[in-house]
Amino acid sequence: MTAAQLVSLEGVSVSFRVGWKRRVAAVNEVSVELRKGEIFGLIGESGSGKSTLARALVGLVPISAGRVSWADGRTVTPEARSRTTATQTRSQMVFQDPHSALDPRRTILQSVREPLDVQGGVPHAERSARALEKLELVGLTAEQGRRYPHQLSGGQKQRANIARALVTDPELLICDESVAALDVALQAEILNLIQDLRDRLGVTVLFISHDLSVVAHIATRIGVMYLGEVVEVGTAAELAARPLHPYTEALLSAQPMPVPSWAQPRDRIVLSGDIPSPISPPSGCRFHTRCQYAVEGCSIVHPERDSRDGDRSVACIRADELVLSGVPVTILRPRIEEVR
Amino acid sequence: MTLLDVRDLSVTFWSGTQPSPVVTDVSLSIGEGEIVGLVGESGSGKSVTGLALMGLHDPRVTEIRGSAVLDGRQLVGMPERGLRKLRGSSISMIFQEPMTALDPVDTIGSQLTETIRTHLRLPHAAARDRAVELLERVGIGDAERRFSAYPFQLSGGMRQRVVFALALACRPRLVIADEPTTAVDVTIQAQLLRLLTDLTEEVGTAVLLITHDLGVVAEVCQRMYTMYGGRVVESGSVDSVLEVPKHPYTAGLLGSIPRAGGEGQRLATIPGRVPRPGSIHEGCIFEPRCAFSLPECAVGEIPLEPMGDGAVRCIRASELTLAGAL
Amino acid sequence: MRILKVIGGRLLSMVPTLILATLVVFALQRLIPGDAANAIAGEYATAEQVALIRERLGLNQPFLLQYWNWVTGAFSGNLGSSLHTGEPILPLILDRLPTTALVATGALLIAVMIGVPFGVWAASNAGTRIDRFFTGITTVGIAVPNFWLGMLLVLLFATTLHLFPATGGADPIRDPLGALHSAVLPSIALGAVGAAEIGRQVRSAMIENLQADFVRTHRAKGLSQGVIVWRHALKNSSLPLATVIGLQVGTFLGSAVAIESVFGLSGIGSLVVTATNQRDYPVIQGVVFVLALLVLAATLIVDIAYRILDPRIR
Repeated sequence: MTAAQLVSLEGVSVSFRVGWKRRVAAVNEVSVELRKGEIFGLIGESGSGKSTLARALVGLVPISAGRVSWADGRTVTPEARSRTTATQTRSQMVFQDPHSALDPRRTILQSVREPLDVQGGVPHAERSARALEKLELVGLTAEQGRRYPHQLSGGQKQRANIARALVTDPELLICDESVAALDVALQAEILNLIQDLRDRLGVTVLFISHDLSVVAHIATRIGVMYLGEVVEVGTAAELAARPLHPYTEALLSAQPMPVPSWAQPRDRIVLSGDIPSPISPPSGCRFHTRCQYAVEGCSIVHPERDSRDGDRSVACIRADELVLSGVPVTILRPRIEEVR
Repeated sequence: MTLLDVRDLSVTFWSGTQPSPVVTDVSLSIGEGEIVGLVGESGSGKSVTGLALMGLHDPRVTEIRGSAVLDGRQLVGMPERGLRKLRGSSISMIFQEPMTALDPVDTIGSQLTETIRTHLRLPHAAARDRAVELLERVGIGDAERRFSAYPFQLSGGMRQRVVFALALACRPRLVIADEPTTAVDVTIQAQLLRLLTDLTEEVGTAVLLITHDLGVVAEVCQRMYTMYGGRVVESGSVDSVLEVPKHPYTAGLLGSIPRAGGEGQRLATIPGRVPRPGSIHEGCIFEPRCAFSLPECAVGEIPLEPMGDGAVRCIRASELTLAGAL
Repeated sequence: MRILKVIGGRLLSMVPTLILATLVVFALQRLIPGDAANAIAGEYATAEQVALIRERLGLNQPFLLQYWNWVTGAFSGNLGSSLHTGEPILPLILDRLPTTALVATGALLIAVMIGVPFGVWAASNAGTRIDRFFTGITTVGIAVPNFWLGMLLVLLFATTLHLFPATGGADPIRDPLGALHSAVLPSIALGAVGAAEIGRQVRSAMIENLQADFVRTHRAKGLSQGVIVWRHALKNSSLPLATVIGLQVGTFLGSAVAIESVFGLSGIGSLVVTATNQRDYPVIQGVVFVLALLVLAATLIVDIAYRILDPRIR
């Protein structure tokens, strides 16, 4: 555990029972670390296990193997199944649907204050003040705090959810598809807000999404998940410019870009087949069934994630030979606003 | 050759004596075999427009005015019997949510043959063969066996392929695709978009692609219309709109889309909220949120003026230089 | 193959239900003041004579032993003999069962053939005056006790108009036409209320389905409203329909007691009324056993129907 680490996951697996006998490993031996003050983006499609991993971090589901070690010395193992409130106050989660996350019978202020009521620790008299403080932080007024959820827009509700997540001053803020249900303009506001909050509060953010553009924009480092495993980790810039794992390449290629036709990538990689079911994952490398670079060994050997130079790591036996294409430079170049 | 010509289409929902004009004076045109995008956020009226063209609104509470001519036939005001003949055969629709779009108690095969037999009057065996062929064409492997499968046995991506098959079964002239790939994973979306472009090219079908995703529009559409507050605010070829948008809303949308390489930067945002569908305005509907608004913008009707290879609904369009996608 | 396993499993689970039902009735009977011995011996019997009869009938044995004897007999087809007449009970029940079954079947037919179309019709016109009218009628229909409706029907059609017999029913096996004739009014009394219940269920299921996404897809395919309503929406509503039909069968059988009293029919309902007055425990037990068996069979059929109607349940 280095000084910069907030939490480290080693070989963490989360499995659930399906039917009577079978188990499905939603998360399979994931080892990854989160550093203080960073925004770590976790990207994956259905069945990738990213949401399950987040829930395991917060303590909503128990882990079935491995260990989670926090900077302050707390560790979570499969045996220590007690989901202590201590864990839950240090990390908080903002979910996808802003509407169902808020109790329709409570005012916004009451909802934002509730974690303090549950946790205790903060004297009664201070709680409303703290909640108001957080509301202001996310750009909501005290007047809006007195309203009920149905009187607020989707974007405002999501801000309220973020305020509620921050009211206990957590070390880790997990955003699980928190902008997926919002329109593009609103999404931009919330993304800006999250960046601001990280800058002002120094909170670490785990940002989970299936939308690569969103993650690539906001995250410092990115982890790519496929069928319960982390297949590549790197900084957003590196990953986008030169991915090391074929799945990352496919994700980047699949992402539609709002740019004119001459700037569109020349060859789009279209994967074949459906995402396999996590209940019976493919043998060897889980991605080999859809990978255009797969060779015989891929169906036999299960690749471990090896470090490359710097912060990068990838789980692919052919990583050294393959030269994969990232996002074209024309699209990558940051835009400059020009208004007359 | 213009296939669909829509002029001043307006859709008003009535609740009791209260009218809600959710779509106002929308005009668009689609040529044979063209893929045209209709872009907007929620509440823009884009889906309502699509449903109006199909005649799928509840006639008891919906008032549709204007003109929509498909292949020489006027859709607005057409009696239900006539519309029914066209639906599924000349004009068909793809919906957003694959998990609920199919009938849960019928096999996918019988749902396909039903539409084939309704419109093409083929005998049972021939209809079945055609359905199996369709399933294969949309990429459902083992089509013979899957013919007797029920929707719940298929994944979301597979179900959406069946929905595509349903829409294209009778070789329609126009397919209205309402957010066809929004509910599926991005790698599946790539497959489905490729499928859509291939199929429609094969059959010669035109597509009205309704979406909020400018990236999708950029990938598959040749021309596009931007909708805001129930009106078309900009139109043109996709390339020109994305390079040099003419309307502040389009520019605002483009600026707020996150992209790789932008980390650390703040996204441009559009202050305020979208107007509630059906609310009535004076002047430009975007004016309250526009960074370039002047007092003149808040009065009178703002007309849609031709500009470049399209049109724009903004009195300042010729003066402004707006940032594009790059 | 799997369906056989399911049936087998259901049959097995019927056993505890039967035991529980009969045990409860067995216990309840013992709570009724007076006992069979007194009833048989008559008013003028001496205490000794009563005690003798009690002894002979085995009523002095411990409760659970009595029950055990009975239940083992029941599951092997021997329902014992009437305490009063000494007749074997099973043939007695089987003799009177057709009358009850005829009325119940008639009620079911009426309930389904009226309830389903009206429910569909109301759902197609949801929110209009037609629909509100329908809801009003069905509310009344559910509230009305079926035997009271029976009495009204007797008053009108039998006593006043002389179209149907007021009381008495012919034996369905020996006089089928006569039996049908005397089953009409009781079937209507039961069926009308059943129709209200079924109609409401169908209406609410249909309304939900007609707003579903898949119906919109069907419309977009160019299918006619008739096909959409009667083929697709109705099929999707068949699960709640099957459920309520199963429940109605239970109601019809259970209402046999009151209905047969009103109409003077000799079915198993009136049999159990007489037996209760006479404290003829074995007869009561036997009827309860058979009724429970019939109701459980109905639920089993509903379960099998589920599997046929909805592919997701298989």
